[in-house]
Amino acid sequence: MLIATAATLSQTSSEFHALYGKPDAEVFNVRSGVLLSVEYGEDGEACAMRIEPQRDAGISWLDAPAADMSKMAEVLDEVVPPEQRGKELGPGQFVGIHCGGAETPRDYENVVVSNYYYCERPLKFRGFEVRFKRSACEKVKPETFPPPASKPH
Amino acid sequence: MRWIAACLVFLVIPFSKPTDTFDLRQRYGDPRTERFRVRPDVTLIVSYGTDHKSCVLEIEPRKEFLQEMVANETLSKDLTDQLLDEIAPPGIRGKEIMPLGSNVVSGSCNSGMTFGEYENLSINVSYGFCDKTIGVHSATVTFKRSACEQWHKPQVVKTGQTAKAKESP
Repeated sequence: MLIATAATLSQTSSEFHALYGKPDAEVFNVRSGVLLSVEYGEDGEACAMRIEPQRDAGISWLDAPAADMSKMAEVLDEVVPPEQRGKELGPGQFVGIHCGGAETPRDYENVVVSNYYYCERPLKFRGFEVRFKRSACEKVKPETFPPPASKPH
Repeated sequence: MRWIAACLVFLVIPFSKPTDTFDLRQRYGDPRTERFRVRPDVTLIVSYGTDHKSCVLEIEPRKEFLQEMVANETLSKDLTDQLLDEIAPPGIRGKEIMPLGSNVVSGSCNSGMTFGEYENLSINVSYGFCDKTIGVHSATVTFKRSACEQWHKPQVVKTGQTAKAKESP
């Protein structure tokens, strides 16, 4: 009886899968101190990704140091290798929350890659975001905000 | 020649294919956090402890996973209670220390938080918001096991537009 009660106190991933099916988003520890957040589309493939450092315990968002660009780029090349991005098309459109002064995203045939920032001053590089352009990703798109010229922060 | 071309196609396909959960689990192991759709527009985010069991369960209206602001939609109190009973039934909560709803911390613009404290877990429900519909924005169940230590650190709220922390350290 005690064992049965203890077993139901917390559930494992497989128990949640059995109850609710496949997850539509996940977060992985991809390196020591580096997190990869992924949201999947209706086809089960990745639609949006964020690569960012895991903050040390007790350090606030704003006090956390800037992300190590080369470490984040290494993971970016691993999860979305250049050949998977397609041809580079030039500067892309800002998606989601745009903090004034942030670099313009890079638009590729298959994805848009953005440097990720919090809205803080001075801006610190916090990681990368990748948005896939497949039609199965239509529902995963965030709201697009106007560029800083028309809506300053 | 055709045989070589066919082999090349098989070699190239895996690298040009977008990434799915299977690929990522093969490469990086089990995720530390998963999100499930528990109702058509409601999600449950589950974060696991070192014992691979759930540590933090967060119910909220469905929104883009990378978006850190609260969703525009809210949940009704009835649905929230129903989902809390589903993911953390009274039987697993342990002895009640402070009943849910007995302690309310009010914020500005009709917003607030209410807490429930039990032997094995705590529950935190946040509701209301200035220009948004009155309703529940999120309900969080946090287990007290030592395997969940990494999730027990206080969450620091970001300022400006990025208002809500999804991942604690």
